[in-house]
Amino acid sequence: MPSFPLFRLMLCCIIFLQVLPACSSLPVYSAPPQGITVKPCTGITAGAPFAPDPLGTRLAIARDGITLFDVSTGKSTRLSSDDPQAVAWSPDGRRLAVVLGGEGGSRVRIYDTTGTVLGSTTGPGAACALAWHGNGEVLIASLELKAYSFGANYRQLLLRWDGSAPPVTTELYNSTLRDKVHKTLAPILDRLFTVALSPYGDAIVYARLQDPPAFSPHLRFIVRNLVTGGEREAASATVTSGGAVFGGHDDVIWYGDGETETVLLDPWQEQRLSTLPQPGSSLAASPGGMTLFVDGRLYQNGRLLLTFPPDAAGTFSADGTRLFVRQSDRLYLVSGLPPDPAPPVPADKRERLLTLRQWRSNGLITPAEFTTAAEGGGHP
Amino acid sequence: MIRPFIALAMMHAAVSVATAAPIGDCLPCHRGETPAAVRQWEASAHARAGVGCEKCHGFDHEKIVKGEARVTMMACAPCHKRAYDQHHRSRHGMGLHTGWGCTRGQTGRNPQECSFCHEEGSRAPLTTVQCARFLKQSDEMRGNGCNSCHSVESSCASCHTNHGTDLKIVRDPASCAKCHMGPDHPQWEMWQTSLHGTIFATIGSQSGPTCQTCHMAEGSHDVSVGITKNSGSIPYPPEKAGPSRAAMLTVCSRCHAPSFARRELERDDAILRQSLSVLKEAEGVVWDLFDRGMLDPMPSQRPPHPVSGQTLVTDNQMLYEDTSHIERLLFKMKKYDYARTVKGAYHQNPAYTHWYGNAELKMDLVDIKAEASRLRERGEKQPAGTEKMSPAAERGERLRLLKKKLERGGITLGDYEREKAKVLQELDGATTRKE
Repeated sequence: MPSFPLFRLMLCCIIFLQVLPACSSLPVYSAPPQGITVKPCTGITAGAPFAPDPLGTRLAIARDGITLFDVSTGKSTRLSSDDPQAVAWSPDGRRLAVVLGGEGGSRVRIYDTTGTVLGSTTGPGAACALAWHGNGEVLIASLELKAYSFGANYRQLLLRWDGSAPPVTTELYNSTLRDKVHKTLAPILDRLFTVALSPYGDAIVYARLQDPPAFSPHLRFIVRNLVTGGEREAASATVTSGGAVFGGHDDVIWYGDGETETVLLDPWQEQRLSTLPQPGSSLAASPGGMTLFVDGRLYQNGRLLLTFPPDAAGTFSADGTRLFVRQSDRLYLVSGLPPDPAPPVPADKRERLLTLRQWRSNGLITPAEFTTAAEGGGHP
Repeated sequence: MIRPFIALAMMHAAVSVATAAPIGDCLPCHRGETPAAVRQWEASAHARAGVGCEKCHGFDHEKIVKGEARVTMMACAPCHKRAYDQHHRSRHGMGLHTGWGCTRGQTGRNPQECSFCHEEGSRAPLTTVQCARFLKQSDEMRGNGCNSCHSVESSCASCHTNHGTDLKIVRDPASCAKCHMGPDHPQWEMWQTSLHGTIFATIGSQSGPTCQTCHMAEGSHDVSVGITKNSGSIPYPPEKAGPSRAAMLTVCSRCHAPSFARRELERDDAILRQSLSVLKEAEGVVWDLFDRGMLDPMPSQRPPHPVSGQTLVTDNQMLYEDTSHIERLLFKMKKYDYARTVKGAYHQNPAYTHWYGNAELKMDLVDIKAEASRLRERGEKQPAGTEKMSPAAERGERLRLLKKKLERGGITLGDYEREKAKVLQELDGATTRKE
């Protein structure tokens, strides 16, 4: 019978030897809080896109083409041999929109879950990002660049595609990049053009690349109403920012300033609501905005839960309980997060709210009038 | 290396001497070719002072024949510096700036006009001038209908005539009538049929003031002294109008009691304000139709405005062609009837102030409102096969129109807030009913 101190030492060694292999296979720097688990999921081409379906049970990933990975069974199904540049599930989880590269520009395709191509289009410019607008329309962020000796003509386009007719194109921005800026940023220009859809489905926030003659190039985050086309500049950031996303409830957005902090902002009241001490070079928010994965750190209501390496990128499931993290050429699943779906809008108030949002986007009512009217009126 | 230049310079000097045209050289031919010009010059102060043809026209006969050696004000300025300076700072000194425009790229342009804005060989303009009405005209119409008056900016001959120097010409109000008459600014007719003009015609210049008496007092070439509004009859801000009014009162006080003159001019100021308010009301009606997309045709459906493109223009660049009928009514109201009311008042002509001006101005407003009603009625009719606007969209449209009205000053902020609150209240009512 060993003495008690020796017993304690042996016990520690056993625990250490048990924990070490598990920790060594996970790129997390701290033990997850109770109820939250982190486990390896599958392999992926490093830096390639991935998207969990709305239930968080299947993953569309780039691995030797487009592969569907069943999270519970570990079974993979190859949808296509083409390498995707962006992927997005429809809200009902029945269709997958994919950007494919290729000579002469990019193609966007819609697949069903068996790999059947339901629609295909080649819009103007090179598609950079995708988002489903309901189940019937895909929003495509597309970039058109024309190089000249003095620089490049830079056009940001928004394509709205119903899956069958040719996409309807709207120009979001048209400017000139100086030659030096164009050449320096060329490898990441597509990554800089981020687009996120509002939980209400009537607005987007997108990043606009500005290259003013006397200043450094930078990003401006623009909130645009999809119905009226009314725009409002929300914030600006360096080109190392990971973009902006809607923060769930109300009209707030999270954005990384690319330097020191990630900010929760009310763009209408021009108020900073909170900040996190991360530059926000990679940013994902749960649909309800409660949980945030920023530069490898998982926060819940501002509290740090887990830390991955800073270059990790994540995406939440539609109910917010699952987070998929890409680190190098591996995907990990963080589960057990509290549910945080997109905020429900009461059906009876939806029409009124969307109307008020349109009016506000066009400057027809002030943000204060919007707030009063959205809360149920009370106008004299 | 320098030798060829010296040789060239010597050759140039030799040619200049050879082509120098002293007075005597021109006269033998020009007595036959341009007898009136020679006669006028021979009777002029220039001839008496030995100022010959070459002094103004230069030596290059070929250029003169081609019409490329126009005698501009710059030929007169070195000797008549005071007059030049006074003219230059007056409204006459801006004549071309209100009636000219760059014709580059237009067909039938007169290349000689380029020299007004450009130095030879340069595409960069020295001055930027764009008059939409000028740009809409043919080259012939520009030459006669625009430049004949607006060239007063750069040509003394515009008033003084080309070769005569007799001050009788320029002291006669008829010399002003060439431009200051007609439907848009009939100052000559107004003066002529006012008491001032009647006294001048009957008793003579000793008692009856002329244009020059009031606007070119003591022979000044600054015709803008005493004017308190711009050429579109919009009042100057007080800091600019105040000194001008004081200057005009000084002129009036040479014949009238200062208190009388002040009272008269203040009454005319009131007429201007009242007339401007009628004009603004009409302008608001037209802009409202534009905001509603009800002009016929809309600017997007007609040739672009030469300066502003396919948008509504009702400022001093307003056109009288390629517009809708209601804009043509507004043009008449603004350029003719408003101008006649205001200028008639300041020129003490009751008939012009009232019947040619005020009455027409107010009848224009009636016409414009009637035309607006017709256009609105037609525009509000639901075209077959189109969906009716939803109540929410209709309220949004009302808010948009209100905002446009506020932006162009057609509604006070207070009224705007009240109207907006009404729309929001309706939204509350609509939601409550639904619930």
